[in-house]
Amino acid sequence: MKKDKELTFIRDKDISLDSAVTFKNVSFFYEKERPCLKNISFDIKRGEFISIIGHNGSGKSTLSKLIDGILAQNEGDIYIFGVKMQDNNAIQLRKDIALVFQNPDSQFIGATCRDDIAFGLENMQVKQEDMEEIIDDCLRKVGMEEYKDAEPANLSGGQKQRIAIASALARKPKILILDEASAMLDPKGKKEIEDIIFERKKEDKDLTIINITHEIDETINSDRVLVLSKGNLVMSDTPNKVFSNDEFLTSIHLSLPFDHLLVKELNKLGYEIEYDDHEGLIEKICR
Amino acid sequence: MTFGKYNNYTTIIHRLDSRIKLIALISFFVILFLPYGTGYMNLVFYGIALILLFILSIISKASFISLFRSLKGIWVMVLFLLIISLLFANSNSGDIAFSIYELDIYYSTIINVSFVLLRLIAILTASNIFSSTTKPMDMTYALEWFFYPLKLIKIPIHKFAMAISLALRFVPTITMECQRVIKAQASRGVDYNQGRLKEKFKALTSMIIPLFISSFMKSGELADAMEARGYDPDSKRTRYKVYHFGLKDVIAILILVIILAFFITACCFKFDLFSYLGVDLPKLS
Amino acid sequence: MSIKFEKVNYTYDIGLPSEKVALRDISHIFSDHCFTALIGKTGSGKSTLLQHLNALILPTSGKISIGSYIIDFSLEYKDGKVDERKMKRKRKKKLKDIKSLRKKVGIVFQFPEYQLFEETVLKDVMFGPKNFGKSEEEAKKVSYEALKQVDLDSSYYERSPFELSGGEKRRVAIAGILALEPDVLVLDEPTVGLDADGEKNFLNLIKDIYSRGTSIILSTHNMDLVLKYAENALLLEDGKIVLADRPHVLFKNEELLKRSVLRKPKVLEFADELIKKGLPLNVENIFDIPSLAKEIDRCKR
Repeated sequence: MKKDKELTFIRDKDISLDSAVTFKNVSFFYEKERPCLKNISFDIKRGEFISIIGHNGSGKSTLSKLIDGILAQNEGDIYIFGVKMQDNNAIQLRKDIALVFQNPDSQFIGATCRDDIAFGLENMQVKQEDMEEIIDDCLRKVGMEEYKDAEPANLSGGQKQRIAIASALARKPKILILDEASAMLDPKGKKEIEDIIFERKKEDKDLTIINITHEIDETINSDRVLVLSKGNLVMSDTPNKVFSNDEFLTSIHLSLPFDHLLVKELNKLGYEIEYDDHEGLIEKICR
Repeated sequence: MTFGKYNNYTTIIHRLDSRIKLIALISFFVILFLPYGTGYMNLVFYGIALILLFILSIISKASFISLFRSLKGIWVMVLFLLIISLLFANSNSGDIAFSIYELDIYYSTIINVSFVLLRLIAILTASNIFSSTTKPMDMTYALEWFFYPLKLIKIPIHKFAMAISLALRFVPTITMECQRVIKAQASRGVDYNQGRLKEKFKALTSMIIPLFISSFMKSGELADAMEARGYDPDSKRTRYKVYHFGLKDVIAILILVIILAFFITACCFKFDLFSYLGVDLPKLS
Repeated sequence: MSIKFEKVNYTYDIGLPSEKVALRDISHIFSDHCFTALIGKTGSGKSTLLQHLNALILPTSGKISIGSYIIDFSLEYKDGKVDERKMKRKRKKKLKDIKSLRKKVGIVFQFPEYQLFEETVLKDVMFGPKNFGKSEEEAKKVSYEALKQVDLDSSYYERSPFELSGGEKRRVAIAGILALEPDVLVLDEPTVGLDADGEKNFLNLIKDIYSRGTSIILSTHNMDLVLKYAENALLLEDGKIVLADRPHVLFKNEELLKRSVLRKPKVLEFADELIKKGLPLNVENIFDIPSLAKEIDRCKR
């Protein structure tokens, strides 16, 4: 039994050393005839900023729960930092991962902001005397220092999501997954979440961020975009390369970022413009 | 402020350890059900308990005026019951106080009815003090602490405690959800107040089913969120909030013990103050 | 049917510690067959105002005329002061025939999918018309029509609403209101939670409903939507109307935008950048991406 336990934390030598999350032919289904995810394989590197996009019902959220071991795949293997996920080590592997969900209300667990952050710390068996400092630090990171004792009923959706991120950061994750974390927020809330993530990325180069979203404009700054459609991984490339494939994106019910849409319209009117970046586009139009 | 709602003051009672407050609450319940000899003596001791509770109410700023106002509906019922018991639950021994037409009302009945009333007021006041000075989370903690011995026989007290605290946490969320569904269905012509029984039943289902569905969904999401933050019901957890027993708590216990001792002694000796003083009171039996 | 607000005030939880003024002296006329967008920060009173439109919330004071239905809580004065006793009596009076009002003004709440409860889609849509006294047959007829309007064909009629996707559920919920054949359709943040494709389809649906003669009043944070679809924008700030005009007028007012933390629609932001570089665009002609492209084309020629 003990030997078994040790074995489960050995890195698989086939997986490269800088991998954070690796999927090998993973499938997931509730009913076999209607799989949510079909034969998915990808490799996310340490410190990468990945966006995963897809329309509603494409299997994005299932993917995040698989990475976190909340759901177990039916076929294939999942590796976290090269360690194969199994029944007996999912809870251990989860310690390096933090997941922020969509609904601000149903992920607020504590009675107040500080209790909510403390919940995760209690689970990690952090010593009581160390908690206060971590809580203060995390509240500062999301700009919510003044709301330490606030109750969820008195917070806006955006503020609750900031607390959810603080609670996630308190766990000192190596992988941070945002599963449509700003989908239910107003533009101000969305911007705040975006800024916090940007800030985190700048300060902690080693942090792997996986942003799952259906808003294409959010993906522009990421290192790589994975595109899901009907449970299939249909694309995995840099944002610009993905967006240049506009007909395909439209066919899987995703719209292009604003600039690309405009280029398309201009092309229709007979202008031959190719998109490199935003400034370039402005130049080209004005020329 | 309504009955039982936590009020955000910081009086000495608020700052007391929730476990002591819970013991005190239970002690007062015991005091209110002990027999102290004759009916008159009962009345005297319940009166003393009630005065103590009123003092505590004032200290803890748990307004009992709003308490009585918020229980308007109940008072009507209580009054009705009192009249009924005055008229019909009449014992027929002892001295007669007065007669209404043919019906004799005995002193013993009046005494009985009045200490039921006193008891009721005292219980409500005590509960009001407890719930308006103790946060729901601290209440859960106190309960968990008292049921701790059950852990020895492998009853997972911490899981129950977690469930209770989550339920308390989601009361406002579900209330809001409920209001939204009611308004949405009102826009579709539902009238919750009028209509025949069948229509009322339909109106009720149109509210309850959506509420159930969204609650189930929320609880699923909540479970995921808890798991994602590393919650494992079977493994050890540390505790963020520690409750230190301070000097004030020790003093509170001391006072509580004195009060309890006073009442229990009175109960054991069944000392009849009135006959000692030679006051002549109407006979009860 | 036009809706007229005269000095409408609303305060939540009067007399409690949580008392909060939500609307202050709102006076506005929603004209016959309008497409009005309510915008403003979270908590600026949009939602409260919408709920006044069919008397789900009654004003603390003020007068609202919805077609011929009048809710008159306008202030009564006595010796130069507000006569509180008279006001209290006014408020206590039960509104007559509130159903006739709710039939004319239908409200679709945020996440309307959470109001579904019947076993089948058809039954759920029929629920409203039946509440308003339609017979089984009539209710069926209007429900077919409403479901057709939201693009759900007969294969959906007997399905359970709970097995549908999020976007489809929302359509069913809207059909449930459309089946009441309202003159005014009110929507509270209708596009939240939909993906880009769902949002586009949904807005086209609303545009269709509008073009068939129903007034649309909605609240939103999506400025692209406001510019593209709305005829009127109503900007609320702390319970007051600070601007009621065409969307273009609003988006020209930089100071106001900044104060209400509103972002310009993306097309206008982009147009501004081009104008700065010397391209003489006329912003009044720009509503969406195709019209922006056309305007660029016009300038280049």
